[in-house]
Order: sequence, then structure tokens, then C-alpha cells
Amino acid sequence: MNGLTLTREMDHQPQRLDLRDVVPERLLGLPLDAIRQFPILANGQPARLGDYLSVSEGPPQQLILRGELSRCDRIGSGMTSGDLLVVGDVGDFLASPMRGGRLLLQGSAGRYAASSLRSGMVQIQGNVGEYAAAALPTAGRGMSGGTLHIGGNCGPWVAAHMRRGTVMVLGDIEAGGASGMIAGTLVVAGKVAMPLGCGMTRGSLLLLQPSAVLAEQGPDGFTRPQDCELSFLPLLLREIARHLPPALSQELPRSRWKRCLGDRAAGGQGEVLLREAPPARPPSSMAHA
Amino acid sequence: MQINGIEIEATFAEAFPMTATRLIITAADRFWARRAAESMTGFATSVIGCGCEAGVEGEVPPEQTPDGRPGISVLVFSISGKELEKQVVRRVGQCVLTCPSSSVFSGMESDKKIALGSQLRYFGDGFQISKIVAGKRYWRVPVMDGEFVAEESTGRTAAVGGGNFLVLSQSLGGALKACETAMDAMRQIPNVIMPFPGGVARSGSKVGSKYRALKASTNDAFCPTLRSITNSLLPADVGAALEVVIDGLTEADIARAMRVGILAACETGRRYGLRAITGGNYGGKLGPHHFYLHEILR
Repeated sequence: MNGLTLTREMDHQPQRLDLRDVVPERLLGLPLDAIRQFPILANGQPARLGDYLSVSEGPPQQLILRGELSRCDRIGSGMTSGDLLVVGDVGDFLASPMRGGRLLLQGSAGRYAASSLRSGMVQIQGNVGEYAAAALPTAGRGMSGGTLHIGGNCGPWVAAHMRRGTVMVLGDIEAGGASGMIAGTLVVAGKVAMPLGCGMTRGSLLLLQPSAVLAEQGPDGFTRPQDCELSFLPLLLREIARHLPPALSQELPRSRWKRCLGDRAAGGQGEVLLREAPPARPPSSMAHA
Repeated sequence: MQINGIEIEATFAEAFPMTATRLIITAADRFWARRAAESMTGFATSVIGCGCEAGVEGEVPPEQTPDGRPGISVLVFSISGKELEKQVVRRVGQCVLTCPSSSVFSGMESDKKIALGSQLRYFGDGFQISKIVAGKRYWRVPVMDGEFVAEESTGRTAAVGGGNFLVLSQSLGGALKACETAMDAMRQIPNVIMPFPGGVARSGSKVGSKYRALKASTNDAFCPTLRSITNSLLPADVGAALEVVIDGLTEADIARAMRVGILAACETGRRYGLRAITGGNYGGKLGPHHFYLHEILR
């Protein structure tokens, strides 16, 4: 099946586009004219896709969105299968909701990225704004399945009220991470701002490079970190390591971990796992004859 | 047909359809993984009185287990999926969950599933944790040595039970030696178990009994002490018979195990007084799987 490339050129109009359902399973296989007629919303009003994006054939089996997409919202929303590649920074509600398939964003995303992700893989190479994987204002639960991988930094409230799935952040997260987290796994390789896990009831936070203070005391509302030896960790770390830079992934098997539980103010049993980096290996000696 | 002077009788072994699953048990080291595996596959020689037939299939190196720890694979066979699930949950709950440092994982992918961690999680009394990793759900149950980890469920598949061959020897000692040699070779074969003690049954049975309550009774045709008063199938110079029983995931697995075992027994058996190999069957009327010895050994 032929692929498709949709390009939004630089636009001086302040319209905000809602591109929900502009997804592989809805478009691939349609004639180009039908695609140009595909319904979208511009500033909340019905519009035609072809009036705002140019349409051309693309690599087989793939839908590509590229260009000036920073005011394009709900990209990937409604996706259940297939491959969607997005090139450029995008607006809000990326992959919300999304129930399957693979979405790769070569750029940064705005607010509420993957907040309604149910299944599938979303990979964002840049940063994300507030409320990534978090509950929408009208919803009690955030991300409820699938995997979200963020190569950059996260704004406030990442994974707030998250219900299920795995979120991996290679960069830093701002305040409010995992607030009210219900379940699932949040892995952070960078710095973590407080508060963290406020109101968390269940779920797992893995902090791969916690500050010395955090490693010693744990987040507010959590029990004091204690050494732990969990037989489940190697299984989880094996999966996580695939998404980490080699220097960090190679340290994981040799790392020690501390664990604390909370938020006890909410009666929570969420766990925070704090990694202790292994001692640096001495350089191997070279034997000379 | 003769192999190394040992007569191979022109007969067949008769086997039956079953359903089976594989579990991977891991632990801090091989010793503890094996303790858990041997415990849960104990008292599992025959579905007649034990509910299932189970045994250790082999060792699984750490790099091939889900959690990177030393592992043992076990196979469990039963008559129905419902009974298989009941046996698996009970045995894992009593014998693996209780074993220090152990975890248990599915060893078989299938659309047909039976419960594993989904039932055992309740031991955690509300403190258990569910985690989905790479699309599979695991349960982490807090216990005194840390956590017991169990995969949510395991798959099951149609299988075959009751493949067999009988070893006829001059003496008991000779029959034992021949079987031990056969078992050493057969334990290397994947997808099969030999559920009787040491892999060998001394009490082969026939259908029916003079006692109404019993459905099976001693196979008097192969009992050396009855040869003069029954329709004996024992050659004149045979003083003992032993039966190697094999359960396997497929007919091909059983046939391979039978071939390997018979050849191993014949290789060394003559010097121990091995005289013949035969097969156990019920006239071919009960079990749909027939393993003809001459075809297997050709």
C-alpha cells in the first residue's frame, strides 16, 4: 500500500488545526483527492484537510506529517494501528486517545501528550509540555496503557493520575510528576523537581540518577529509602535498558537500589526506586612483556 | 528386528491425548530452582491418582530466563484444561511460592491459557503489585524474603501421554541398569517427561480387575512370579520387566524419546542380561496414538 506525506507549510494565519483521525488506518489506501477532502477542524470549524496540508505519496505503509505543526493538535488521536511519523514540533493532545500502532515524533510536543494513550508505542524525541501521560481536566485517569518514550525534558505534572503503562523520560521532569499516580511505571533518567508523587496511591517510579538528598530522604510523604533486592527488577530493567543510552544501560545490572513507599498521606503503596550508581570500574591494566 | 542382540518385538505402544503446559521456575541459584521444581512435580506419576503427570524437563540458563536467573523448566500434563489449571495453581502455590527466592513464569505461548499469578496474587493480601512489561503481566507478591514473582498466566497445548517401552531382562538388577542408561539419554530430550519414579514404572497395569471398584490392576502377563499360572508374555529366560513411560508435547517428541531410550538400553543392556524390548498397549482400542517399535527404530 502506498504511503502518504502531508505537509503544512509555514502559515501566517493563527488557525489552530484539530487533526484527530488523520491516522494511517483512515487515510492509507484512499485516493489523493479523497484525502484532500478529509474532514478536519480549523479553529473548531469544519474544514478540509487539503486546504491546510499538501498531499503527496510517501514511503510504503507509512503516514508522514511534516512542516509547521506547532498549532496542530490531536495528532495521532484515534490511531489504532500502523506507523505515523511526525517531523516538527506539534501542538497539544498528541496521541490522545491512541489505542495502537507506533507514533514517532521527531520534535517536541505541547500539553497533554499521550494523556489518553491506551496501547501502542509513542516515541517523542524532543521535549513535552505539561500533563504528559496525565489525566485530562475532565477525566479521572491519565494514560492507561502502552509505552511513552520521551527523549527530552517534561513539563510539570507528567504522569499525574496515570493508570497503566510505561513512561520513560531521558531528560528532566518538572514539579508535580506522578501526582495522584494510580498505577503504571514512570522511569526518569534526568533530574526530578519536587514535589514528586504527591497523592500517589500505586505504581512505580524509577529514578535512575536521583540527587543525593532524594536518595537519602526520599520524596516528601514517602517512607525512608531502604536497601532492596527485588527479583523483579532484572526483568523490568532488561526492558528499560533497551531505551536508554548505552552508558546508562550498561550500568543497570551492576546498580544497587533503595526503595520507599508512599504517598503515605494518601495511604498510598506506590514505590519509588532510587538507583545507586555502581563504583567506577578501574581501568584495566595493560601487561607488558 | 534385533539391536545389539536384543530382540525388538513387532508391536506398538498405545498412548492417549492429554493437555500440557510448561513453566519456568527461577531462583537465586540452581539449587533452589531445582528444589522448587522437584517439589511441585512430586506425587505426579499418574493422572489416575495424582491429578496430573509432571516432571522436570531440563535446566534453563540464566540468559534465557525472563529475569536472568538460573531456571528449571517443568512440564505438567493432565486430562483436561480445567484439571490442569487446578493442579498447576495448587502445586505452584504450595511448592514454588513457598520455596526461597523462587519466581515462576510461563514456558508456553498459546491462545489457550491457564491461570498462574492471576490466582496466586491473592496471597499478597492486597499488598501485591501488578506490572506489565513488554505486553506481559506479572504479579509481585510480598513475602518474607522479598517478593514472589509470577506471570499472570501460562499457555497450554494438546499433548500425548503414555508413550512407553518395556525392558525385559534376565534379572531385576539388569533391568534397572538398562533403564538407568535409557533414562540418562532420554533426559536430554526436550518436550518430554518420564513421570514415574526415576522415569520407570515397575507396576505396569492392565484394564480391568476382579475387584469391581478397581479400573486397573497388575499386568499379570508381565509378572515373572505368575508366568506358570497366567498367559505370560515373558520369554523363558526373562526374570524381570520394567516400563519406561513417556509424556510428550507431540507424537514426534515421544517417538524421538522412545528411540533414544531403546537404543541407549540396547547399547549396554546385553551385558546386564537384557533380552528384549516390547511395547505396552490395549489392543489399539483405547488410545489413538500408536508408536510401532520397528518404525521408530528403523
